[in-house]
Amino acid sequence: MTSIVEDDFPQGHPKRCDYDPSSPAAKEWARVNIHPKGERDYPVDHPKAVDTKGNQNAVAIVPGVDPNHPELEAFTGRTPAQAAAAAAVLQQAAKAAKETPVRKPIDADRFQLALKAKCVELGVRELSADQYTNFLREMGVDTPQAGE
Amino acid sequence: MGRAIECVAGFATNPGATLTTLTASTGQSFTIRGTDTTKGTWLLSAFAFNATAGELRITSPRLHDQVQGIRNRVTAASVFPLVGGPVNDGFTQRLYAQDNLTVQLSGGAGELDCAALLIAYEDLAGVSGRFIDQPTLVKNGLNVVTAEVTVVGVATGNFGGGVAINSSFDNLIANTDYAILGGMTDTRGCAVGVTGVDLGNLRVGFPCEPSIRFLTQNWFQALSMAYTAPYIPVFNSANKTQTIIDVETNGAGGTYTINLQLVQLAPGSVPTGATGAATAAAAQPA
Repeated sequence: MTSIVEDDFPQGHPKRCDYDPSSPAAKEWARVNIHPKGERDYPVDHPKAVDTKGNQNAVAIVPGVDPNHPELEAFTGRTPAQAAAAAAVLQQAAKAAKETPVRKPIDADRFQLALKAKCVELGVRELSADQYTNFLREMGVDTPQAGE
Repeated sequence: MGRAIECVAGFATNPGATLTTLTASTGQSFTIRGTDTTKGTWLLSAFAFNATAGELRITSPRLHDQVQGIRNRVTAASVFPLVGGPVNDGFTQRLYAQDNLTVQLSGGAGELDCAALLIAYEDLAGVSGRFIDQPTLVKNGLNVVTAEVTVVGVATGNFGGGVAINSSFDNLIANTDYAILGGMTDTRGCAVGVTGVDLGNLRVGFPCEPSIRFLTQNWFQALSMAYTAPYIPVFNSANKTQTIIDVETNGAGGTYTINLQLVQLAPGSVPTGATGAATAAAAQPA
């Protein structure tokens, strides 16, 4: 049966019988455990500790941006090449975009009552597209399309 | 006569450091519509979209003062509510019929900057929309459903790219009322607008800001709860082809995927005439 060897103190601890302050183990123990400025917020080598090499404490968290990949487009995650290509396509689409036509304000209550009455009159639950278009015309509701 | 909400937007071209009076979007005006003056009209919110930081100033002799009035810093590329809104604990500025608001914006010297005001009318003569409050929604709401549309904005500073709410997916149940809780965008603009015959053909709107989706996704519901008033728009699917989604943005234009958060309502739960016309003047919305 294998016996378990249990040290009374870890390697480099000042209370060990073989303590040598100049040994690498003692220096490492001191680095990890001795804090001349007082209590630390995070242990030595913790990923969030300010003195841990490579910590990301100074990386800004910006909405829509992956902090590990700030080069990617915000909110979409596209690479710069993808983003440029998409922008070019969208620019073409934008040229064809039209301003939304202005509509004449109406009384929605009156409109809804008339719509229900029309459905009853025609004996349907909902007007067909043609019936609805005719109804809008009867009501004098302008239905301008984009670009008109 | 009845309740109405209108999102009025405008733009300033190359304002730079000069506080430049906004040009209202086509067919819109910063003059408050004529209303019964005993009924409230409210500035529910205001937001702006600047590529370069600037200032948004709203003044009128009828408001606190016409010197600086309601003046707020607009941070760059962040379309957050600057005035009122659902996170303002429900206190808002009263507006006055026929008052011509002076809305000014400063920003970049080589860009088109834009801003939008969301105005609620408790009783607008000749115009009414269908709106419900939170208790009505809770009592009559059945199912959550989203309406996703793609809008290609125009680069002129006006509202543009209007598409019907069923333009991408036509999955609404026939002849059914739906409440619009709010919406989300994937791309930054100034304002997302929703216009329809059920809304009196006026445009309701919310900030077109992708980084505050938690705030815009139930924008109207939150406004309704903040101001304890019926500000949740309702439309009937019979009018889906006349319920239009569009976007107002800056000179860069853009393509926007908009998700509207809808709740299917029980049949007959929003009777005609129940749009909540105010019966008396109040110190705050009612």
